[in-house]
Amino acid sequence: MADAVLDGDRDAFRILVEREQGVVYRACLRIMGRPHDAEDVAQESFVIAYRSLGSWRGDGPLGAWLLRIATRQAFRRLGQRRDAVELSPDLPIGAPRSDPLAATLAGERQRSVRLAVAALGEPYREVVALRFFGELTLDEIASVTQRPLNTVKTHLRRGLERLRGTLAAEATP
Amino acid sequence: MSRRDFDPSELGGEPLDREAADELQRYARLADGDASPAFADRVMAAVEQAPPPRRGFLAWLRLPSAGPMRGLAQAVVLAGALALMAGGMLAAGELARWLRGSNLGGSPSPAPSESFVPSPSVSPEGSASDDPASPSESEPEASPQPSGSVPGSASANPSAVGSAASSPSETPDDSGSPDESETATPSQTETPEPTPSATPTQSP
Repeated sequence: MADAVLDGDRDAFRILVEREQGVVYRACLRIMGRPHDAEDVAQESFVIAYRSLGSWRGDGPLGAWLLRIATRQAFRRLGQRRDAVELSPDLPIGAPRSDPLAATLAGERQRSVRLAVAALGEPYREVVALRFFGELTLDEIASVTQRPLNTVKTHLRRGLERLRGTLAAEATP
Repeated sequence: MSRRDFDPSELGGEPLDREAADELQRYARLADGDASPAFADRVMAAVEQAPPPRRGFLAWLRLPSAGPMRGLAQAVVLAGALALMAGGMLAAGELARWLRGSNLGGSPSPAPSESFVPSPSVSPEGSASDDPASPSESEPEASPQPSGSVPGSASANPSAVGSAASSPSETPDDSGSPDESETATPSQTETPEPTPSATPTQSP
């Protein structure tokens, strides 16, 4: 499919978009926290991938490469958004709308999780995001990041340990 | 790609405290959904305005041969690249060997030249100094001059002293540490950096 796109077949790229848009959008949503922002970042990521398709090595799934672009772009956009003044707090995703208190608490907790992941240092943040937000296997992460599988496991373990410390500190009043 | 729940056995080894993993799983289940139906159209509209992708070297090599000439061309270019790489490595090896040789005064490469150069002056002296036991022609190779000329070669070649002082700082560079620092940094050449110019088109 990548070769067809490189040969100028845009319909092939449309097939790729339709095939991967769900997982790319969800990964962006889990990082950004807002559906509208997630769509924007997902769209940017597809355009970046289209322009950079010639540099794709072909080792590992193309979807995993797309997800790596999307997570990087989402974290970048999230950083820019946090630099700006947020006029409206994040709306909780999937929280019961009938219970305002539960919705508020759920929104706060979701925000804590998102920001804790975003605050992780690299390479832990990337591995955690690709595994839990992008739903990639560790083998796929090792392939797309070109790191040994054991290194990826170590990064994920350390990332989860750091995340647990951050979340525990947030939960403590 | 289907949803893949996290299983701590993926990590192997010692047991993992699942608290953070469970929290992430819960959050991922909540933050679920699909893009809007017009998402693909928006992406394709943005792609229409983007410059077409250019095939990089690696992608070009990945290309399935559409014809015999293309396959042949790929093989030729690949062979050329390999030859260039091999030539570069050989040249680097030669350079390293030359540097190493110039740093050590007693190394084998300068010694024959030192023993060879004084040989014309030595053999006439030997013949003139009533030493019949010394062979006239084969003496340059067998003479003890090389051992005696080692200090001389070091002093006769002052540039070698200066370069020898720098050799200890060069050798550790060859053994770079291959571990965490390298694996931790993803390659920037193949994975594109996001550029802010890819602005999304506004949905109606």
